[in-house]
Amino acid sequence: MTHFATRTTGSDVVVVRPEGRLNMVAAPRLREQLRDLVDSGSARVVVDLAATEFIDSSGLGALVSGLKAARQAGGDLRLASPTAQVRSVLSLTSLDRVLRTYDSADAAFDGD
Amino acid sequence: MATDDGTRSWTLTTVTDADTLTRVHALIEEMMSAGRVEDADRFPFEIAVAEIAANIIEHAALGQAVSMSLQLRALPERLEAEFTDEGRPARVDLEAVELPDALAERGRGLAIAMAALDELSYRRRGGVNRWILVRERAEPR
Repeated sequence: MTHFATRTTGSDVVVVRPEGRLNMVAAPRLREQLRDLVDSGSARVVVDLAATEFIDSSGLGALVSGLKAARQAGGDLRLASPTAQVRSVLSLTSLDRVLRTYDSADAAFDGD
Repeated sequence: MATDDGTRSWTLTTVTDADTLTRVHALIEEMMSAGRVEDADRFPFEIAVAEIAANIIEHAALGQAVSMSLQLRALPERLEAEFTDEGRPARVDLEAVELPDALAERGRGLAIAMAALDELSYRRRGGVNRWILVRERAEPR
């Protein structure tokens, strides 16, 4: 299974960047990748959504799964640069209250 | 296709497979590029159509190949979608659908569709499931 691109910032934060549509086709891949990252010791994770053109309930489920895994490991999962479609779905589902969103992936953990 | 009352429609007839969702998005893209649809209408309509399509693929088709059709209609005052499929009956009470707990990992699809639409109906007749979705436009054309 192909993974989405990842990089590590200077503050030991891992940034995952899904591309295209995050739906029932791609969401299982993201869910597994986020769980693997946390299991391997990366509990501070940013999902950079700048290249995610569309998200549905399956994609939201993968983000929530990653959020829970990160928090259980003492870290957090944060979102960066959501596109307009992603913002509208986060708002529609009120998930913008639990999934914190930042303008920049590199700044998502600033001050923590 | 356009009718005298200004309705334009786009149709997809297919058998469900791994590419079905991609085709559904392509049909929506055709609809959106044919006439100006504001993001305030496009985003809710597209997510609702995608959620019902995913629901059909997952629950009616159970990952198997079933006949499915989708017609999208753009009217001056609203956007409509109508799905038919020959899969299993949907065991759902739309009156009882609501968003799950914030930390739930599943179960948001139909609630998203309902929140995004003005009307959502489902019925099964003669072995065919039929979903009708209506989104009233924020700014009628």
